[in-house]
Amino acid sequence: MSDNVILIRFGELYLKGKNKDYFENILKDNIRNKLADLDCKLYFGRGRYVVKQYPQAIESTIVSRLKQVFGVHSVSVAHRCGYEMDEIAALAAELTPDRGSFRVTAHRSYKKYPLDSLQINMQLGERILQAKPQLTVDLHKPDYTLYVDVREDGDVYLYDRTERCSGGMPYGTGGKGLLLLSGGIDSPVAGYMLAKRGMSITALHFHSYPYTSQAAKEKAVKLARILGEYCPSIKLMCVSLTEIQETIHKQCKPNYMITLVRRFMMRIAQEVAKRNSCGCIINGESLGQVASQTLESITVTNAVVDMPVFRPLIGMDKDEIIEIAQKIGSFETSIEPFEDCCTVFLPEFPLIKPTVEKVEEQESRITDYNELIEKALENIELIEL
Amino acid sequence: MIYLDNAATTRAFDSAVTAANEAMRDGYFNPNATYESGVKAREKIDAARKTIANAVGAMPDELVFTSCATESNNWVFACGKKYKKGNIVITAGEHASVYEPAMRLKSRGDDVRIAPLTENGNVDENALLRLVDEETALVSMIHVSNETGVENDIKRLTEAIRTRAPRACVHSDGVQGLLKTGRSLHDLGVDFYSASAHKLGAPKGIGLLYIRRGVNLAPFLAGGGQERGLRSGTQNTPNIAAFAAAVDEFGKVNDCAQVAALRAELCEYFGSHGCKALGNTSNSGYIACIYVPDVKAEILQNVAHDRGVAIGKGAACSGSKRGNRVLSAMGLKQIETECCIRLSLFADTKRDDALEAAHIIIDAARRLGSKHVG
Repeated sequence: MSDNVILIRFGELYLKGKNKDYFENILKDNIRNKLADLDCKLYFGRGRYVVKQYPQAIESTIVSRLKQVFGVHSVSVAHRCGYEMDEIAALAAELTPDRGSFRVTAHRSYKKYPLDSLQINMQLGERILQAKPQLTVDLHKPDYTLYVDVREDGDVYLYDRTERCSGGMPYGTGGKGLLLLSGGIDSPVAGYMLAKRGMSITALHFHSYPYTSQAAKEKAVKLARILGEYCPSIKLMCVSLTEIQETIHKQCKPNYMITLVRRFMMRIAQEVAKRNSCGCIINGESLGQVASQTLESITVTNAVVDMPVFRPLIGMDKDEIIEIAQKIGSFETSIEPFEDCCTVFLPEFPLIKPTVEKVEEQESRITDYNELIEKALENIELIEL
Repeated sequence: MIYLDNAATTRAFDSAVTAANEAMRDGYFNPNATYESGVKAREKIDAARKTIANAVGAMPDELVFTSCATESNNWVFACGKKYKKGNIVITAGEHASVYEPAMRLKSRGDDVRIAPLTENGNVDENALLRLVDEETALVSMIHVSNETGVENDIKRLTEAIRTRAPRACVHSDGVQGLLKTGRSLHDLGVDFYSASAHKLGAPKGIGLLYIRRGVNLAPFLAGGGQERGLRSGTQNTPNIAAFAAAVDEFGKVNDCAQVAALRAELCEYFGSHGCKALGNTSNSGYIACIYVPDVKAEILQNVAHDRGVAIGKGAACSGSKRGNRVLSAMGLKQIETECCIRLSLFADTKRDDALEAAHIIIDAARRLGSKHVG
C-alpha cells in the first residue's frame, strides 16, 4: 500500500446553488464506478475527494481514469502526514529537491489549526532551509513549489504538481442525446464535447454493408468503446442504409445522393432518438468542411427534423478537431482507412447549394419513402460494447 | 464455407494440430536444456528440420526457423547486404515485407533499383538484368507472386545475375512458392529463400529462411545463440513440429498439376462470363487473380462471404490500404485494381466447391450491377 493519496478537485460545481448536491452525487457515483474494479478507497469530503490506500503500482492508472471523469477539474498525487509541525517539516524537506529555489504555498481549510497559512509558509520555509541550506527562497519564480493542504480530521497533504483533468459537468446531468457516429474524426469529438457538458450519449451508426466492409462497422464499435471511457454505459445502435442508397441510386439524380441520404439519416435519427428518450441529435458537422456541410446543405437536412440538433464542432477547424481527437484517443482509430457509408455511391460532383424545393422534388420520386424508413428502423441492431 | 483464400492463410492439417499439441503437452521442455527431456525436444526440432529440408530440396543446416516470412525477409534486408557501396535490385512485384525494408534502405541513402513487371505479372527479365551491375550487392525477386500466382524463373535469372554481379547475394521470397512449383531450393540456386508455414497447412507464427551453404549472414536477433547463433530466441517447438507434419501431409495430398488444371478451369469460367484472369502465363496454379468489371472487390468479397465463399482481394496484408502496388505495376488502372479479386487454391480444394464458388461470385457480381458480367 502506498502512503500517497490522490486529491480530486471539482470545478464548476461550485457555481451551483441548492442543486449542488444533485450534481455532486452523480459525480461521486461516476468516480466510484470508474474506480470500482481497482483496489483503492474513496473518501468524499466537503469540496474535495480523496483516493487512499491503493497499491503504488496502480497510482498512474487511477490518475488516468480520473482524467476521464467529467466534472473532475484536477487531481494531485499528495503525501499525507499529521498535524505535528515536526512531521510536516521532515516530509517537506524530504520532498524539496536538493538544488535551486523554492516556495511553500499553504492552504488551511481546517480553520482551527493554530497557525494560519502565512505562518505555515514561513515556518516550513525556514525548516526546509535549515535542512537544505544550499536552497534559496523565491516567491515569484521558484523552481519548485510545495503545496501544503491542512484538512480536518488530522490530515495534512503535501504535493508539488496538479494535473488538469477533463473538467466539464458530471456525466448524466445534462440530459440525453443521440450521437450520429460515422467512423471519421469529427463525430467522436462531437460526442465528447457534449458528454463533457454532462449529456448522456447514445450512438447511432449508419452503414451500407456489403458496400462498406465489416471492418468499417467494427471501427464504429471501437470508437464507441473509446467514447465509453468517458461516457459510462454508452449504447451503440447500427442501421443499414443499403436499401435506401440503392433506391436513391436508381430513382434520383446522382448529385442529390448525399443530400437525400442525409435527410433519410436525420429522419431515422429523430425516430431512434424518440424511441430511446433522447432529447436531441448530435453530429460532427463543421461549417463548409465538405459539400454536405454548407449552410444550404445543413438547412436542407435540418428541415426534416424538429428536435434540436447540436453541432458542437460547427465553428472549429479540422486541426482543432484533430487536437481533441488525439487527446481523447480516438484519432488513431478514426484514420483507419475503411470506407464509411458516405463514400459509397459518391457522385462526381455533389450538390453544394441544394434548395429545399428541389430536394423535395427529387424525394417525391421515391414512392415507398416511409416504408424504407420503417424497414431500416425494424432492422436496427444494438451492439454490445 | 468454401474457402478460396488459401494464399492468405490455410486451415492447419489435423496432423499438424496433433503434432503441435503433443509438443506443447508432452514435449514442452526447453530444447536448449541439457537434461534428457530437453535434449529430446531438441532432437524433435532436428528431425523436423530434416523432414522439411528433404521436402524442399535443401540441407538441414541450410534452414533456420524464424517466426514468419516477414521476419525472414527483413533479416535478409537488414543483414544481407555485405558491402556498403553496392546497390540493391528488387522487382516491382515484391510483397510488402520485401518492398518496405527495401524502401527503408533507400531512405537511408542506399541505391535501390526496382525492376518493372510485364503485363503478365512476371518481372521484366531484360530490364532486371540491365539494372544489375558489378556493384550490385543484393537482388531480391519474388518466386511466386502473391497477387497473381505468376512464377518468376528464379533459376535462369539467378544464373544470369551471377554472370553480371558475381558478388551479389540473391534472395527470393518463396512464401507462395515453397513446395508449390515442384522446384528444389538447390535447383533454384539462390542464396536466401524465405518461406512461411501457414500457407502450407501449418499454424501461424513459424517460417524459415534458407541460407545456402557457404553464405554468411549475420544474425538479425541476437542473445541466446539458438539456431546455431543465427536466430536467437527459444525455438517454437510446437509450431516447428507442426510445420514438419504439414510439409509431410502436403507432400501426400498435393498434386500441382491437378491444382493448376482447376485454376485453368476457373479462369476459363470467369473468362466466359465477361471477367478477365490475369497472369496466365507461367502461373504456379494456386492463385487466380480475376478482374471483375464494374464491381469493387471489397463489396464482392463481402457479398461472397455472406453467401459462404471466402475470397481475397489483392493481398490481405495490404487490405486496409488503397490501390494495389503490384497490379498497378502490371499496367492496370487504379479503378481496375480495385476490381480484382483473388481466388487461391490449396492441395485439398475440391473441384466442385471451387466451381460452385465461381458460380456464386458471378451471380453476386451480376446482382451488384456489373454491366459486363454475363
